[in-house]
Amino acid sequence: MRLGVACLALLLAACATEPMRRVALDQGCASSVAQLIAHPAFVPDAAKPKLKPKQAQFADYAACVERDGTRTGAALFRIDQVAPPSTLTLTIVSDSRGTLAARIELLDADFNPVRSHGFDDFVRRGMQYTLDMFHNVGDPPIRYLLVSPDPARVGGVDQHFGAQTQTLFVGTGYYNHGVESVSSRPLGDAGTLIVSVRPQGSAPLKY
Amino acid sequence: MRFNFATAAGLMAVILLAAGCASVPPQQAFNREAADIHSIRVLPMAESEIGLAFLNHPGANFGLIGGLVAASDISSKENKLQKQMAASQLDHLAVFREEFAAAMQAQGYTLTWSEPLPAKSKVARDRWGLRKAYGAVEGVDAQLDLSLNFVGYATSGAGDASPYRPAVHLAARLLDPAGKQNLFTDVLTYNNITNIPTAITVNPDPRFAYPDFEQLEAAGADVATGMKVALEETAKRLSEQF
Repeated sequence: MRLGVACLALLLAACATEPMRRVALDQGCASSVAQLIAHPAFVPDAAKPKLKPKQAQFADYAACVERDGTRTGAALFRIDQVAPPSTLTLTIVSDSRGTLAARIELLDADFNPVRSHGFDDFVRRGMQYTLDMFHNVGDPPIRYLLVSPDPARVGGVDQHFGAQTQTLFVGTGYYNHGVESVSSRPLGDAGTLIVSVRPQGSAPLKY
Repeated sequence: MRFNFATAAGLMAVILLAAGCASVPPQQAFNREAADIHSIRVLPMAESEIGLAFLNHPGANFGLIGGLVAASDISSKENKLQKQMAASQLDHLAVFREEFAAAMQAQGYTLTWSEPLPAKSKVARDRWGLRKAYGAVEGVDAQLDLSLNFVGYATSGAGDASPYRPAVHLAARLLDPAGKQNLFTDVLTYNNITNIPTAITVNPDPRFAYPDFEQLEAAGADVATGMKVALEETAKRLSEQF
């Protein structure tokens, strides 16, 4: 019994402290974005509105790629499952272990950049950062979305203000006490993200 | 002691949001490239006053009597805060309107404001203050429904670890002139003390934080300056969504 409790405690402790994985840049590195595996973006299913996108670490999708003589982690996503007009959404989850300061490039079928967005274009929403991008009819064709760390923001700090209620149990009752919570989280080259594409006019995703 | 129902309703809304009783309305990002919009009519807004949000008031732990004591304490502090703002001649609607109009103009949008801006007429609104139904407007490319749900100072509890900071909470929806097509809907919080998970979140300016109400009172005109900064930043961030 005691051994079981100890194992459970160790397991929980291990889960809680699992570090955010980073992309290894000191091993094999692709020489172009075209060599990266293109992962499918999440597409909501109108028939299954409760189906939620999977949150995954950037390192689960990304690999090392050398661009302009610099090695960086980059994740390639295929976003052509939905024909224009479509809405692409990248969600970065703020995490005490690290928040990805992401940079986005939208690429055509030949991996040429069509447009790009730095981390400053993201909208901060509670414990998330989101960026909505529209692919309208008549826009230059876009087939891929490339996510990589934004060097201009890596090393920064993500500060979050909120309120916390602390409950003290006193006898048969309890006492609620509120305090402000301020957390500072590092912006870096690792973190959790969700990439989705949906037809324009369809309901936004719920997480 | 004066008890203001509009402020009380705003405070209640903040508390309900804090309790997680309301989900954010379906958010719609603005597709600027697909919309040919240059002129926007801002619909009449609901009346609003400077408020005080006090989450986790100690009195609320002691049943009905404690709750009444808490309500009385909050109302008293709120009245003092309103007088302090009035002494500084802060017109929160004017500050927001001027900054938002300028920021939108810089992006190529001309706003036409309803006069008077805060309307006394009864309009059916949802829990986020947005209208439940829209009519048609003429002479503009779009209509904007704005709801300043809370403007004032907020604290997460009693004690030095819960400073009073400026807070603004608003909801906005942009529609076509016919009032049929939702072009944009979102919620924005300056100082997200209620932990609304997916609202556009703006961190409060650290210069304006008061460990207790006495220090807030002693700060005099700085309190109104903090409110003005919060409103200007809120207006600017909202304009960036278009």
